[in-house]
Amino acid sequence: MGADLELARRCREGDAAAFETLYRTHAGRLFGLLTRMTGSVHDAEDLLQDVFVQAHRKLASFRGDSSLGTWLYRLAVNHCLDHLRGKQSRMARSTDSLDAEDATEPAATAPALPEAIARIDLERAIAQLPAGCRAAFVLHDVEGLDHREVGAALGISEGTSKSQVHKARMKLRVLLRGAVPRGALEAV
Amino acid sequence: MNDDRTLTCQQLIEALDDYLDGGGKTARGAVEAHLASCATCPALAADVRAIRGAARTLGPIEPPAHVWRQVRSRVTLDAAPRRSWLDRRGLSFDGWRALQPLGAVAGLVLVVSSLAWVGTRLAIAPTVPVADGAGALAEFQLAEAEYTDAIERLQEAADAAGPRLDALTTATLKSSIDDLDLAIGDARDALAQEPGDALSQESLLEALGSKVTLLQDTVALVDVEPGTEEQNP
Repeated sequence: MGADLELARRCREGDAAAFETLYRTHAGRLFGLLTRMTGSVHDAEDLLQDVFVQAHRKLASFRGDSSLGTWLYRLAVNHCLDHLRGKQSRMARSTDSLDAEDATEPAATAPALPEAIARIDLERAIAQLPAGCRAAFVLHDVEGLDHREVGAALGISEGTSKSQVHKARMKLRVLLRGAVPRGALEAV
Repeated sequence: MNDDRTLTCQQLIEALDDYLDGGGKTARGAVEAHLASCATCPALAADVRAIRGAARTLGPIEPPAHVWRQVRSRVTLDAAPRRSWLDRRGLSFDGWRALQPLGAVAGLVLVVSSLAWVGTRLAIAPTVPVADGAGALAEFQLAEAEYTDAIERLQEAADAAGPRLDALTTATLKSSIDDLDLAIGDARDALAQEPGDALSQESLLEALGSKVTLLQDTVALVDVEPGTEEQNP
């Protein structure tokens, strides 16, 4: 924690090398989060820029109560959620349109997914999820937040968080199996 | 499909997440009994397990190098006392620093041109007496025509320069031009309703002036874009 406070102090004092260290240390994790939450590399690039510019402005408020990584992570999640809320109506429509029956009925003849799913396949499938359930899935299954924390972050109930994660998993199952043509899934 | 008497397949689906995530009200024994007796649900459980497991392994993604350059540029500008229009539009990057001398020259040319234009107007004014309102409108229309003409000429040069700019710069410039065209369209719509509205006139001239500046910078930028010499022998 002392190292974080020292780094924050140097950044506040305009030490460019310190700020670059801060960026290099945390950009990868935050960019992964933002890319998966938004489903768009382009949006994630813009958001990552904003997060670090905001961080630079707000470093004076960093007291070291949490690590710099946690502090930046919260900043990124909040900024990303603001961005997603801007698309809320579209998000609600796409979430509502994800019917349970499109994926939850187990097909007896379909082959099971391999135990080790290729990372690139999963990343692509996550990007195709509707925004609402994608955010809940990323925070819960990728980032490891529990449903109470996901609910608090997204402004939804714990039950809704469970429901969204369930929908995401079912849809991912279909996407990863390639059982349904891509066009048909996007139309859902 | 379902041989288990205590849990249907649908109930299993509803209980599966809690079972795998370690929570919920449904007894684990009931879930396990169903999985042991059902022909199809074990595949679902295995798939969800695989998805959960794979999701936990997703790690960091390194952002492209240009993101850091833009962050650094914005942070540097943040600390500066005054930011240019291009910076405020998010068009700042290291290359603009190299443009400062060009900008000064372009500014000088603009000032000289403006003075010449104003001089022409001053010379004409006494010989063409008009009423105040009509005179202001005429002046505005003349200025709009000058800007429009300049934009047409600069647009041709910018279009020719376009292929020599990298994709990010081109996209950013295009986005800004689109914004300006929207502002120009809005101001013209307002003026179609009220041709003499001073605020709309001012808005239109400001947007046109910004577009002229942006196009000038676009053309000038080609001369300092790294690597363009190699791409364009």
